[in-house]
Amino acid sequence: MTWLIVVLVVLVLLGLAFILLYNRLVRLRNRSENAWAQVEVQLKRRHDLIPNLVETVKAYAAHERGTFDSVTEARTSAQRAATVEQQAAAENVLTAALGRLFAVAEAYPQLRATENFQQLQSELEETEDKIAVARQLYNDAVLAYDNARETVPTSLVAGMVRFEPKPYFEIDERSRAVPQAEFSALPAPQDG
Amino acid sequence: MEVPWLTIGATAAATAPWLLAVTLVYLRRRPNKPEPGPPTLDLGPEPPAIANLLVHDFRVTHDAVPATLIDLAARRLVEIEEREPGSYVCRLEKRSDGGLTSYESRVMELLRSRASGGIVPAGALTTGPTKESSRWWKDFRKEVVADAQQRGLCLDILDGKTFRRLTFAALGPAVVLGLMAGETAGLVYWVVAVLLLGAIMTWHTQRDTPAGLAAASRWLGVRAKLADDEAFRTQAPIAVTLWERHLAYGAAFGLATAAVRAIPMGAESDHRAWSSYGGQWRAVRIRYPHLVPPGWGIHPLIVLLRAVLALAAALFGLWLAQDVGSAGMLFVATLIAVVAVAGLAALWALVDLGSTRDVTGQILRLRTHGDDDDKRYYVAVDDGGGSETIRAWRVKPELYTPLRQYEVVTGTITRNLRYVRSIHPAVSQTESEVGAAQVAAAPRG
Repeated sequence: MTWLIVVLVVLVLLGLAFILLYNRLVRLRNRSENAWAQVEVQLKRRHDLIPNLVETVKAYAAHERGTFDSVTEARTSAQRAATVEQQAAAENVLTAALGRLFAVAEAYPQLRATENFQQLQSELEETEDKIAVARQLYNDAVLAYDNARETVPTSLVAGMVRFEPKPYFEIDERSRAVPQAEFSALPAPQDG
Repeated sequence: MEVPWLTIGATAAATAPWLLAVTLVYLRRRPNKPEPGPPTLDLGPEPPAIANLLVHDFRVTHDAVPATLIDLAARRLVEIEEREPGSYVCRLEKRSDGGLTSYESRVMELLRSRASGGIVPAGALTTGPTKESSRWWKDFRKEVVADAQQRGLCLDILDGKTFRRLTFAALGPAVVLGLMAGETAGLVYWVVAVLLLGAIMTWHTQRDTPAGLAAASRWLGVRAKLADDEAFRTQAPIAVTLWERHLAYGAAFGLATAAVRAIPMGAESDHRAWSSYGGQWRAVRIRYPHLVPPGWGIHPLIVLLRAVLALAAALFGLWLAQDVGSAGMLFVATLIAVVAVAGLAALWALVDLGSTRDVTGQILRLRTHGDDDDKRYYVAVDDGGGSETIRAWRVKPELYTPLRQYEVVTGTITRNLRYVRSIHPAVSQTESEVGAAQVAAAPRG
């Protein structure tokens, strides 16, 4: 009888431990999924700004058709990306294409002076900042999830129930589409 | 002993009307509970610290401080960066901070006072030692309340006139007791009554106004909406870039728990500190040696004298214990240990008698330990050597008094026992050190 009670107690304790660890993994997985949703919101915002930007530049440099096409194609690919890896690759291509678009705009001082272009550029820059932060938060969430998935005791539960690894969102941070010097001028430094 | 029923009865009878008056005043003036407004994400004009007061029964909670910092970040006056997962730094932006409220300026000032090169790790954003931190917090709270009152959102629960009246009314039962049981009893009664009055009234210092109640209702609606998003609780402080001012209000409402945990902005720890002396921010541990190592911070001559006496006593004990059998082995072992420790202390003291060196560094902590009979004064100085653990120097009270935390000082200390012969503000500091010392000087209220 005693051994039965002992076995039952051990089983109950194991069951409780399993539930706690399982719930922790689920929470971390949900957190990373939520963080990815935040990345998607910011990426969508960037994608939404592009058609206006292309149209604005087109009004001044209609003959740069190749550049506009590459931006549009890259945007479409980015919107169609289904996985994190595909999204990262597509965003890198889009960033490069946008970089070329801004290089074209550089040659047209009148275009750069228009309020519409300046506003779009400013919004795009702000969105890129937000994407950078959202990406950082997502990668932190994935790191926490992966650490839990790979370390004992949660790894035992992760092995029993399928907790798939999550990819990091790796984009080329060095190349930003928007040239930053233009609108990052700040008011004069204060003392202190 | 005879129970003075008559005195007790008369005092109770005289007290009852006074207590009734106090209770009535409290019940009439305690803040009303606002009805939560419809859930919304539309923010009102009040800053997060005021919103914090409004949703917490017209009391400011500690979350108002990190909430204010996050709000400054949302307004691009401060940038919060992540250095590595879970580790954040605040960077002062070179923008005009005109138009800030007094408590927002206080937070900015704290940031400036702690920053080195315009950067301060979130962990280093403390409001000073416990006593100083408490004063800082009280001043912050007063400023928030004053701003809320100026906006017509709340009033003092007890104005001076009512307080004086209730205090005067307490004289009635005090005089009754004084006449029946002596002047002292009457005086003590009156003091206790006034203290009780103060305690009751400080439970709620502020009461609502119609405008305050309406604003509180609106903010409760914002809180309800933010609380709907479970992920909000796990947002790091850098998420302010995404959530903007909503994260600050979430922090003020006690919802953005992860963000607040990352920048607690409370009293500083005695044993952990952040130091930027030497150019790089780093976390250090601080120890306040007392018995180990022996003779720490004591004049080498005194240590030498004590060590020689201990050595003599231990050696004498060993000589006496020559004939002790195995039963006395523990005693012998203890004496041998005493000989070893005293010998080492004597050696250190001997070396220290003829050698001192000057050490320049920044004071990270100024602390006293022990009771009044044996108070020890410690100065933890980071000399920029990169050490992870700093052993605080023990100094004489007269050397300790003029020192200020975060000041750059030069101490003349002995090599082993770290006996401090003199300590004074560094004269030959580099410009950056001077700057760091100036900006890092602890806020003094």
